[in-house]
Amino acid sequence: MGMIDWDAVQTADHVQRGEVSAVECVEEALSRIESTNPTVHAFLHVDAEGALAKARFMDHNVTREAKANLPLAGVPVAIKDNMVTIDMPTTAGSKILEGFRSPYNATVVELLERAGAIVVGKTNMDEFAMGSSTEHSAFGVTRNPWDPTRVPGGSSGGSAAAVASRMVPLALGSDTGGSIRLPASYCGVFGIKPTYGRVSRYGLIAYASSLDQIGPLARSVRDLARTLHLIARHDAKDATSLDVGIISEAPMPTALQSLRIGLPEEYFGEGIDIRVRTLIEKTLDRLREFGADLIPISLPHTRYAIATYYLIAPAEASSNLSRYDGVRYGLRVAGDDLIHMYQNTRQEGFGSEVKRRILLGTHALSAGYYDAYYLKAQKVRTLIRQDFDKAFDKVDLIVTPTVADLPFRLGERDLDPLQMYLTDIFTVTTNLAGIPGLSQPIGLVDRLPVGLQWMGPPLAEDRVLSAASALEAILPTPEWPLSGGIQE
Amino acid sequence: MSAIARAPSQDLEDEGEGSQTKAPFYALLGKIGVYPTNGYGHSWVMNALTEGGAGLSRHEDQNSPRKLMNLTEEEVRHVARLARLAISSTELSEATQALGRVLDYIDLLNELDTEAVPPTTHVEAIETVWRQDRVVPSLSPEEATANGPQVSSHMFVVPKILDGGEG
Repeated sequence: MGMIDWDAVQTADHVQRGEVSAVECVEEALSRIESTNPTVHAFLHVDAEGALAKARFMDHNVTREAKANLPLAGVPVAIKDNMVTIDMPTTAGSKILEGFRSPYNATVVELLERAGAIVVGKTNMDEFAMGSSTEHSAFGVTRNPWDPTRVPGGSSGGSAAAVASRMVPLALGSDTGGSIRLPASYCGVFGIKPTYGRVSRYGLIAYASSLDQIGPLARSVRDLARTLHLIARHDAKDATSLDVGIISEAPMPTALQSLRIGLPEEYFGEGIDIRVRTLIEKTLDRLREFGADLIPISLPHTRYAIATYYLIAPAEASSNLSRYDGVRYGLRVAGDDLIHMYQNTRQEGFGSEVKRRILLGTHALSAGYYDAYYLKAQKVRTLIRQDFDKAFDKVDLIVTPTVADLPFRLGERDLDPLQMYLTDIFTVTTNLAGIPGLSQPIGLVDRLPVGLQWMGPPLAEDRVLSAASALEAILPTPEWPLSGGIQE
Repeated sequence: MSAIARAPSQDLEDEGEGSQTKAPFYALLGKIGVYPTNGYGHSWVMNALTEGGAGLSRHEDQNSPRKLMNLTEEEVRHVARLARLAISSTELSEATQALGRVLDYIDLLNELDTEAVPPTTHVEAIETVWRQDRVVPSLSPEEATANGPQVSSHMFVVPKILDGGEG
């Protein structure tokens, strides 16, 4: 097994033991990016020189003893382009932020770098994280490394594709309605959205502030755990950041014998793609063989989740995106007066999906509609959360498919926004309820990956990670795409 | 798979009146129950969608049981003004249709009686977060204004607001 196959933990172990240098790790990542990124287009920006300089600094100036205290020593990481970085541009996939250079780093970037990680670049995403396919980026689409005619999922499609195609072992994404778990599933990697408030959002470009969470994408459960251990910390710079202790660095696999797993009937209706359903059922059989107790449950308000989400998220987005007005940063398009400058700038700078959501959100918040739309949605949100609270009285964890189908073809869901929105049906509920959700690759059908989703009670990341780790141990080792190069 | 409780089967074939081919994705969703298939006059959604996705106008040509748009172009124009978007007339009609369909879908929430349900204000029960009112190092004026499209003496320059502005 070569360096390219190492996960983040293996990479850091080798660097800490002095068996490879940080420069070698970064060079490996850069060469893989050079050969693979032209096909996949996972990265919007690669900072080769900056990353090599940091690696050289580590190799020359950090002692072996000091490296032992860097849990991600020399690990190349990719950051979704909606987390701000001093050393690299940040666009959030939008023309309106082209050329923007943040004067500060997001808290997550600081924490990763402090742990020895080396940020090599920024990954592509749907503009302002609004999308499920990474087709809505102002800077071109990202392709699924398993099949370049298909989407990688979104909105963290660049991060998922970068990890799946082994350009980097680890990446950060953000998840507002499934934006980590959906691309993790479509690309066949692990991804977790933590409990709302676990990871600081300071320096995360806001989409829907009551739903946004940052989380890692990786090729092993232990990488997710080690990363969350480092980034899920209280941060005074984010008033919604929770001060509730840290996530275990290396969770022990759960004893499956004692585990009560809920299977919500609403997620196992007859509508799931039969190939996805078959693989999910096979995996559940394995869990049952190892003694897990699979319990049918109901989350009766599931069918209202998408409608709820598409009121709350655009409403919050319409407010958050009012800051892009051509005054303090980003694009400015001239106008006769201030109002026309605003209008021309936003008209020119935002893509069609972003405008659509701003219009929808503005409408939902406008005079006369607020109670009917936004307030109503916040009430239904309470019901969705209560569904989960009741379910977790009976079960330890919930398992569902991450997505109802396999990665779709580029352009396939472009004509109709509503069709795209419904891709997120199994993932939006955890954002609305604020609970953790993890997507785990469980195998391939027709050479396309399938993901299984674990959901846990608030703050139960350790439990979720332990269970995923136990399942990881009994499933065959995952395969990775583009093994023989990029000819496929 | 005895442990998997199956949702009551909703046979879409009966719902999509007149539709021959179905977009498989919508069929999936209808069966999962995300698509309203009964009770709220939404069969038009299934019609429009099972026709193959974007068949809006085709649908209207058919025996539409309900006007698709609960939103007029005038309303969208108003909202665009509020949102400071100078959308073109093509975009206006596209957005009116798209938003109309999304809002119609959202009507699904009216199935629920939420009179006695408190709205979610925060998913975690955290109290008001306080901090000391202390001066700490922050960005310099140079750094804070470095991204401004037009800056003069650490101030952002904008077109004039009075005389000729909309207000």
